[in-house]
Amino acid sequence: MGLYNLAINTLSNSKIGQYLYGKSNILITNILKTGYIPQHVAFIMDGNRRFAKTQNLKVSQGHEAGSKSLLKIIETCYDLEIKHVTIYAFSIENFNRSEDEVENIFKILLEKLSFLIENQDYEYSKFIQIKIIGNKSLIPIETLTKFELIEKKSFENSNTDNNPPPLVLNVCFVYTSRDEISHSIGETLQDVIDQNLSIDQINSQIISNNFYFDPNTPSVDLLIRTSGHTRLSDFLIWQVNESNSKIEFLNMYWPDFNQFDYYKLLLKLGFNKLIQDIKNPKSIWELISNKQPKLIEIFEHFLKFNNYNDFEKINNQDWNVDLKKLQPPPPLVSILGEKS
Amino acid sequence: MGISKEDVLKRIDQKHRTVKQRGDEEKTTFDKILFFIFHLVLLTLYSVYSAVRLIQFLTNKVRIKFLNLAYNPSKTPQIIRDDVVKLNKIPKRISAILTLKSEEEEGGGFYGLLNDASELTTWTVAAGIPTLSIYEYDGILKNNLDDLRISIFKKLTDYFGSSSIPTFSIRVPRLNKTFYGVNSDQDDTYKTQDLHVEITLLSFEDGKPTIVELTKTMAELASKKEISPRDITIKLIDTELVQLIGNEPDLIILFSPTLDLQGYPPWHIRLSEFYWEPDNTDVTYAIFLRSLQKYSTCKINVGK
Repeated sequence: MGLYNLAINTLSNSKIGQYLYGKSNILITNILKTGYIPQHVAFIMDGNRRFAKTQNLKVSQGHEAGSKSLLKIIETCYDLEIKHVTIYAFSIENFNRSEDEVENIFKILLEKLSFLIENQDYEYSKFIQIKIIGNKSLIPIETLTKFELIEKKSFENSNTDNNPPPLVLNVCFVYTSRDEISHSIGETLQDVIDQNLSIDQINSQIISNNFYFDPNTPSVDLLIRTSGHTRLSDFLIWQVNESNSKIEFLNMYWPDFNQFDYYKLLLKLGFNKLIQDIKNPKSIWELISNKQPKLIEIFEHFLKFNNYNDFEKINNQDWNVDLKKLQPPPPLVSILGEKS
Repeated sequence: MGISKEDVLKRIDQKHRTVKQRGDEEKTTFDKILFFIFHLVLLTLYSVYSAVRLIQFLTNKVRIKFLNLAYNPSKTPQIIRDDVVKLNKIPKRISAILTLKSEEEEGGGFYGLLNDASELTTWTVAAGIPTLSIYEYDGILKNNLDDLRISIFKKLTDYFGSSSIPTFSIRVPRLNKTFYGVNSDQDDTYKTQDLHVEITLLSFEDGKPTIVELTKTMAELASKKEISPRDITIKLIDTELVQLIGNEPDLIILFSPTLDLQGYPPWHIRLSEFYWEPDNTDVTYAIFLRSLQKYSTCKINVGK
C-alpha cells in the first residue's frame, strides 16, 4: 500500500501526472455513466480525527483534510450525474465533544459551504443546491441564520433556466435518525389534528414524507461509512434498513477516501446490479459453491478428530454440565457502555 | 494528491462542454458511437471485476471452511465458555438475522432454520449472554412456536445434559406473550427464577409497520386531545418501542453473505454493531464467536 501511495503521490505532483489525473477522471466518469449509477448516495465521513492523529496533525487540520476529500467526492458525484448526495456533518450526539471542537466544526462547515456557493472561480457552485437537514431548534441561532442564508443563495444560484437540474447536497447537521422519526411522528399527529389526514391513511410513506428530507428525495441506494466502524450511529436508520439499500463500510479514514475508491465501489455496485438483472443470477455462483474444492473435503475428513468430545460424551456417564459451575463470563457491556 | 486551480478550471471548462452537449436534445452519431465504446469498456471492466470477485469468493469460502474447522463447539459448553472467557467484554443483548433457505440446500428448509435458531440459543446460553433476539423476515419461527420450543429444549439437552437444562423464555412481541421453557407456562417456580436466556422472535412486522401502528395509536389519542404533537420526544417513542419490541441489541449478527438488513426494526439499529462474514451462508459457531471477538474490540463512544 505504501508503495502504491508513493507512486500516486509522485504522479499527481508532476505535470504529466496532473494532466493524466484530470483526463482519467473524465474518462472514468464517462465510462461509469453508461452503466448503473445510484440516484442517492450518503456518506458518514468518519475518521478525520484519527487521520490527524496518525499523521501528527492537529484535530482541526484533520477536519480540514476531510473537507477537501468531501469537495472532491461531491465533484465526482456531479460528474457522474448523481442527483442526491447526503452527508452526515454533525450529529446531535456530537454536542458531547469539547466546545472548541464543536465550534471549529461549525466554522469549517460554514467556510466550505460558502466556498461551494459563493466563490466565483468555483463553477460547480452553479450546479449544487444545499439543503440543511436536521433539528433546527437545536442549532445556535447565529449559526442557523448563516446556514439559512447559504441554503437560500445556493437555491438561487442553482435554479436558473440555463442550468441542468442541480445536485442536491443534503447536509445532515444536528441530525440523528431517531430524532427525525420522532419529529415525523409529531408532524403526522399535527396533520391528523388539522384534519389534513385521516388515521387510516397513515403508512410508512406518510411517515417518511414528514422527515427533514424533501419528500421527493429518492431512497438511499448506497451508504458509505469510512473508518472501519460497522455501525450506523443513528444515521438514516429508517432509510437503509431494507434490501434495496447497500451499505459499505470501508477500512480507511475519510481524508484518505478519494475518487478512485469511490469508482471501485460504484463498479462493484453496478456489477451486482447487472447480476441481479440477469434472470437467473445465482446459477453461476451456485454451481461453484456446490463444487467445493476436493482438497478441503479431504482436509475436513482429516480433521474429524476435532469431534472427539462427542465420542467422550457417549462413553462418559457423568457428563452433565452445570451452567453455574462454568467459569463466569466476561463483563456484559452494552453499546451505550452500561455495565451490569 | 495535489491538484492545481488551473487544472480544476480546465476540468470545469470541459464539463461545461459536456453540459452543453447534454442540453442539446439530439444526439449525434458520434455521441452514440462514443457511448457504445464507453459501455464496451465498462462491460470489460465488469468482466475483469467478475474474475476478481470469483477469486475473492473462493478465498472467502475456503477461509470460512477453515474457520469452521478451527472453531468447533463439539456440543460442549465448556469449550464455548473457554473461548468467551478470553474476551474482555461481551454484549448484553445480541440479535441474529436468519434466513429461510431453500429445501434443497444443506441445512435448508424449515427444519434447517429451526436447528439454526436452537443452536444459536445454546451458544448464547453457554457464552453467558442473557438476551437474544432472532429476526426472520417472514416470522416462520413465531408461527411454529411449539416446534421451536421442543427444538431448543432438545438442543440444550444435547449440550448440557438432561439433569441441568438451562431455562429459557420466548417472547413474541406481536402477540405480546411470553412462553416459558418447553411446557412450563403454568409453572410459577420456573417463571419466577432467573432465566438463563430470554429469546425474542422478530419479523418484518416488528419493524416499520410497528412504528406506523404506534403513530396511528398516538394519532387517535391526539385527535381526542389526550396527547399533543409537542409531547412526542425520542424518549417517549423509545419507551413505547422498548415495551413493544424490546431493547436495542448491542450486536447484530448477520448469517448472510452480504450486509442485508432485510427490514430489521429501524429504531433498534441505532448504535448496534453489525457483524457478517462475506460469502458465508451458514449459521455456524465460528461466525458467532468471531462476532463476539469483534464486539470485544470495538470502541464505545456515543458521539465522541
